[in-house]
Amino acid sequence: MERLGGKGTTLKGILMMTQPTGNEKNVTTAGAAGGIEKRCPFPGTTPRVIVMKRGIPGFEQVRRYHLVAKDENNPFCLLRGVDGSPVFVVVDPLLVCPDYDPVIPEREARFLELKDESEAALLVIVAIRREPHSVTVNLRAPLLVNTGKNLAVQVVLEDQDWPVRHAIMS
Amino acid sequence: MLVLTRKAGEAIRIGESVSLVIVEVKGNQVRVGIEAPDEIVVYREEIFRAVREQNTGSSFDEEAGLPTSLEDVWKDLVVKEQP
Repeated sequence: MERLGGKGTTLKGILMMTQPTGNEKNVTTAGAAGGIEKRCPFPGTTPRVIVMKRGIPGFEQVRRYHLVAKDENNPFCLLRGVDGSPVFVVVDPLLVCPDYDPVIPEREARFLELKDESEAALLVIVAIRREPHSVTVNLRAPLLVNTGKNLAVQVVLEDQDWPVRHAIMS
Repeated sequence: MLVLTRKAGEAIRIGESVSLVIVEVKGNQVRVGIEAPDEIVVYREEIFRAVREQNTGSSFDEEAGLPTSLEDVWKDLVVKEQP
């Protein structure tokens, strides 16, 4: 097993590849030590096209997605099929679960043509429910992104106990 | 459904590129080895279903609007984290 997507892998790598406009806001920190960093996606950028190499389970027919920073002060991004659907809210898992340190199977890293940890990034899908209100992230099946080639897969971490629904607020 | 009887050490070939090997039979459990190209997903059925259902439940129709605005999500998150 090869370890990828540890502490050093964040959404920053993805956002850095969008075209900066020159007026990016700096990272700010909310809360006390250990609080969540508020990272600022670069505003005014062209959405990045990400190819989900196997589609996303449940939406296998959609392979091409746009990764869109919703607004400049929001760490949540949209992952939207290029034809408009489906739409997912995604976030850098380390922003909402600092201890997240999954082991990415070597097979998936190979399939994504990842040669180096520095070109790997992880995103997790956010589920927002209204009744009862809950916001959770799926830590069991993160999206592994090859930031250099803009390829991604949803990796199902079979033998690891990361929850499918990890609450990030009650 | 096609049903085949196999012994430990025997295999089943599916298509040109997938091979299932019965590694061990012990009580009511069977250990199966799978050789498949990287583009083919191999998951336990129930875990795959759980992930697929979660994906389906997490997708939105953007034109109908998100159930909670992302700005609110962020605001709540900040409030929660502050001492």
